Amino acid sequence: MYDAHILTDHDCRSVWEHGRKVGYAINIKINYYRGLPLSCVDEITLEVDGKKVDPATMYVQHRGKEFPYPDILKDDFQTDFYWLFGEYLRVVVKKEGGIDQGRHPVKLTLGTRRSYTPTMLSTCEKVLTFA
Amino acid sequence: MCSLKTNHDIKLGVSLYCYQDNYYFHKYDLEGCLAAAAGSGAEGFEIFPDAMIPEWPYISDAFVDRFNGLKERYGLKCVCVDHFSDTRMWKNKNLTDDDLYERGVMYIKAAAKLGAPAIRLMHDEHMGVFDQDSPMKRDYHLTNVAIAKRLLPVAAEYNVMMALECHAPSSVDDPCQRPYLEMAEQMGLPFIGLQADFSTYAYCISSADVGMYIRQGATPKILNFIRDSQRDAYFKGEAFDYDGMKEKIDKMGPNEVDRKAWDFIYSLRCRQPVQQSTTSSGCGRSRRMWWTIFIGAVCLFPCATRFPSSSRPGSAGMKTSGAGGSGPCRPMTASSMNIITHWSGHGFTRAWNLRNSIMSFADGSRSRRVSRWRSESPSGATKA
Repeated sequence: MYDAHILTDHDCRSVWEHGRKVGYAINIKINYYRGLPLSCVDEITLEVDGKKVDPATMYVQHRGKEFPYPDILKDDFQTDFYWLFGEYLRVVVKKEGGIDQGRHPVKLTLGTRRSYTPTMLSTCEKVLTFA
Repeated sequence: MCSLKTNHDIKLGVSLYCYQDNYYFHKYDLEGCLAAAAGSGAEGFEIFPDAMIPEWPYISDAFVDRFNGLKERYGLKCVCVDHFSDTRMWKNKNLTDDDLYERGVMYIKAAAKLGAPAIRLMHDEHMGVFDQDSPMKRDYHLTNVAIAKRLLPVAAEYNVMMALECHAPSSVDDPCQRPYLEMAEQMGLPFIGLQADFSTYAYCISSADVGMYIRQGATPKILNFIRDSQRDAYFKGEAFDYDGMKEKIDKMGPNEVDRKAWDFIYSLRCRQPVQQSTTSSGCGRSRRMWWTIFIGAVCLFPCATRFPSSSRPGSAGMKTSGAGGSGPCRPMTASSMNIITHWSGHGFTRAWNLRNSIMSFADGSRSRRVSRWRSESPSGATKA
């Protein structure tokens, strides 16, 4: 569901800190008909420019909080932190130098564990324009 | 504006889920959805908390203030909050019964806080009872009768009705719903009712499902053939031959996704055309049930419903455990929707109505009806 729309053009950009580019951000949306706790996210896999992004460099930012991506996959991740239907989930990839401005092919694989039906894996490929 | 407001006891409401695309693509926010609902002539709405309440699972007083203001501005009443049984929200374990109970309490309190008289309860049998080999069969359970029994006093305390979602391929007259009503009767707490999902009127696989499987790699020709055949059979008033269709599909060279789609279609065997003669039989007096009728495009709320003897529901023929599902079912006709309802915003009145409904369920006519199911339904249709 919404497979073609989970990868968005919204606010794709390099992330700056202290005057340096330290990474880049992509905003994704949920592949389900309702919101889910972040603990129900089983997989976020990114491929940018044909190369798989190292999960250890990925961070998830939502509602003013930031979690290292591997943390949200842990068994004891909190269940009261929701990714609501339609909300952007900001995925930041830490990479010195950020990303070049312009268009980049991006592939997202998103696995969410539905709380009462089988898990569904969604894949979306798009060319996104980064600021 | 096309106003659908009436002086009837039954009111029109809209599930805000109807605006899911507009919400997902940020064309409407919560207020936009409410404005659209009001603009359609609705007087009530059902809210999806994990889409439209920003702090969910918490609800701030500030949100409630704003929410009440919006209701006032658009002249709407929040009639239902959607409950979900998130059994699998942990990665390494399922929620225990205690956890599910606590989640249920959370939803009941949320409804009370939002001023809603009901929650749509996602109970274990909301889609009926699945065969062991069904792809929809779960190895865990949702909110079941035992948990609902624990929730009942809480619902009574907060004056919130628990409306069992009766979703295709189940229906409000599926016997698997009955233990909940009987349990409420035994408890003497009439805070459980039935909520008819409009999906129960489905007679073919949806075009949305066809599209989804095609995107996954299914063959459009095969899926459209199945859907067209289902529609064709329905409008001709014939039972759809699932086994015959399987043979035809096998000859069309289905791929793996086609087979997966067929398994799904077969597991949700859609209802069959109704023979009018089988729906109009039965006892000569009306019976009253407590229903909330919701979902799909519109919701009609709230409701003590009365089925004239000439338009009572047909039978439990949609039961998923029934081979072929060829039993008679409710027709989506004027007669089946000719439900005389009773708008009662007051908890005591609602309670009284349910009490009567349970009493009518528990009388002798019920057992006659069960035996009619047994004699007319396909094998397995009365398992529950």
